[in-house]
Amino acid sequence: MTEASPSAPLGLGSEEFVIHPPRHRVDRRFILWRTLNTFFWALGVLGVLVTLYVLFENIRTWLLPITLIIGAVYLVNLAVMPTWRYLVHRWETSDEAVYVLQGWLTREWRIIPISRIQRIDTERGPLQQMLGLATVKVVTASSEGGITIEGLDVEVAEKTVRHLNEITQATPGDAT
Amino acid sequence: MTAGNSTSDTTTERTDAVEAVPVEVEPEIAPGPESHPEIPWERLSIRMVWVNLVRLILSIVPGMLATAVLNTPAGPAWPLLIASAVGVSATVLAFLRFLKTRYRVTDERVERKTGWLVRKYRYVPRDRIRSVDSSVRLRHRLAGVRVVHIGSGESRSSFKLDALSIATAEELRRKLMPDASDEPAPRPLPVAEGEPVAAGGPEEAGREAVEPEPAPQEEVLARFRRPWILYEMFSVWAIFVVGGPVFGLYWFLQPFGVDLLDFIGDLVGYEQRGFWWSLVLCCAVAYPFGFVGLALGFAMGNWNFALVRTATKGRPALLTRRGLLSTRTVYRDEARIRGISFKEPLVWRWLGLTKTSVVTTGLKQGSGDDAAASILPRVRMREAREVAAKVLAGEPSPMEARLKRHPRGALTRRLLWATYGSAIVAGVLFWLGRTDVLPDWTWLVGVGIWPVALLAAVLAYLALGHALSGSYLVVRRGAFSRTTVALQDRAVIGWTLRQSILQRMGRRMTVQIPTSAGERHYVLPDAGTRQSLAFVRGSTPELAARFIKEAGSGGENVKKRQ
Repeated sequence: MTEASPSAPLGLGSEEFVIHPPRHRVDRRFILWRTLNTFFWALGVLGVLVTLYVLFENIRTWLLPITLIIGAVYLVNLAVMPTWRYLVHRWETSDEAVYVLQGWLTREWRIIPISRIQRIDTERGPLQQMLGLATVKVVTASSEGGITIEGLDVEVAEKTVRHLNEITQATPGDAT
Repeated sequence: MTAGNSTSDTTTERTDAVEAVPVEVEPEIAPGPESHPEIPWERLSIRMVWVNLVRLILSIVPGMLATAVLNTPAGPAWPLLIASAVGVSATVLAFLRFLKTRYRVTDERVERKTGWLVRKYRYVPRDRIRSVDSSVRLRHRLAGVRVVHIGSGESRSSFKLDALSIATAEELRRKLMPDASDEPAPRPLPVAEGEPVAAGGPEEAGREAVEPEPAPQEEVLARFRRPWILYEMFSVWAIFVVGGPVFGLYWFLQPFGVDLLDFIGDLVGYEQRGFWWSLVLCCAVAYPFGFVGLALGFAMGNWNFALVRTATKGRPALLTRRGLLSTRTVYRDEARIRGISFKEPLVWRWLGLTKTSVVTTGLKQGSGDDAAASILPRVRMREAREVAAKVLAGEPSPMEARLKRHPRGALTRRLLWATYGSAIVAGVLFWLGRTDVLPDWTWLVGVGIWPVALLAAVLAYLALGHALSGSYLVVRRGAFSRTTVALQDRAVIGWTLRQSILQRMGRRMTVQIPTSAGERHYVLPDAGTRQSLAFVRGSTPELAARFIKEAGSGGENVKKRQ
């Protein structure tokens, strides 16, 4: 299981019905952003573990395998995950719903009808600001039903949020 | 036991029933203690002074005992002094609360201000009031007052008024819940349609009273039945009903030079029998008492239980009345009910028992509001189904629907999880044993939990099921605590479909159902892809059409549109 080719059918289904993938890809810079993000996390976590390893002699026996395992996981993450995710992630907004496909090993399709949206935000961390990316967050009344679209171009994100805000206001519904 | 004289005749009165003016009619006035200066603030019932005075005297007594009578050279009896101090300070605080608490009802809100050092102001908009409950403790009952709980469905903006006189409480309730004004108020007398009183204490025995005719608009969905006590009383935890007070008594008696443990030790013959036999003997004696205690507790809390639908104009509501000494009524706005759920922990399931609650919006799924969502105590499945059918009237009950099984792959997956899990635990423990962090034998724990995990996997698989029934989605899951939920399709606020690599190979997927009601989201794990898509399409055809297409034709259509 290496990277899925971009033309691989992202929709899937049974004999009668298929899930249709959302229309748009996220921005290409998503790969770089995710890689940097993972890299810094790995640096932080492994840094702490290595420091502990150096400082305390009596915990080395069990700290070493843990560090090695975590290191290996991060290595795989760095090498494969960002590209793989980029190839999978799709999003789309229409006048009726927000719809995304995300994940890499496990895929996840999420859809929210416009009438049930409570709030729409954009978020930009320091890395995203550097790369000119933004994250769009769609919040509903459910604890689990929200949608986060990561790695959109800033302009695309702003346009999307504006559009969503307009149609959300125009759509009747109590968002519950 | 003097309260409850004024209640049965309230069916005929209807005082301020039409006062619930919608907020929009008048210009909105910002909430605050200074708004509406013309409406006076009311005090709590003056009888609370007497209640507190009696409480004060009662709590001073142990302290007096401790210092005057039991003042040994080793010092006064500290536990008694502490008990006394706690009692006195609680009473003083209660008295201060009485002094500083004011409430009033304006056209828009019910307001309460309180607080000695920090002034607190709380309000519930009248159109947001979901429930007006009353509860009574023994001291309130003796003083003829009631604690009124005003609930908005959110614990943050709900409050209680401790306490109002019965007449005031009744008037307030009718003013705030005009649609429920036909309701007879909670009746403190134990009555159950002439049924003789079951295993009760002496104060309940032989009391005879006749239940007032229910108002014609009221439909009784469930009523207290004596077998319910049986379902509730046989619990493993019954031992604590006895253990707790005994432990308390032990501490209480110590200052008097009585060692209760010694006494019990002598009684069971600890010396001759040894630890284990003594323990068995203690349990054998304590459990029956525990069962009786639980039975009494349940009977006191649920005597006169009735679940009714008040089909009055405007706002239909489901209403629960229950309680013997402490009466409690809970209102649930029926317009907010989105479904029903059965919860069956493993042992109850074997006994055929279930707990029933409604799935509603607006109620927080917390500990306090749990009581509001739960509509029945533990009852037999058949009974619960009957009540569910009455609650979700209008179509064949979704709780009767035949559930579809999930593919065999779901079982394999769970068995594999159980095996991996046990193997990992065993492996880690083995490694820790080798490195001398833990004793060598601990890896056997991993082997030991394997059969349990396999059993859990099978149970989890057997619990899986789903169905579409009329306008309801039915989802069942849970290995040790099986939950069956019927949710109305209009409560579905989106979909999340998940598929791991292995699920993809096995043509299965997990469907999450976000909703604003109940637990906020429900999960349908590991259904076949085909089943899942049919489920999604069947429950929300319009939304499903946005992303699920018919094979063959669907894909092209969308591409053309792009």
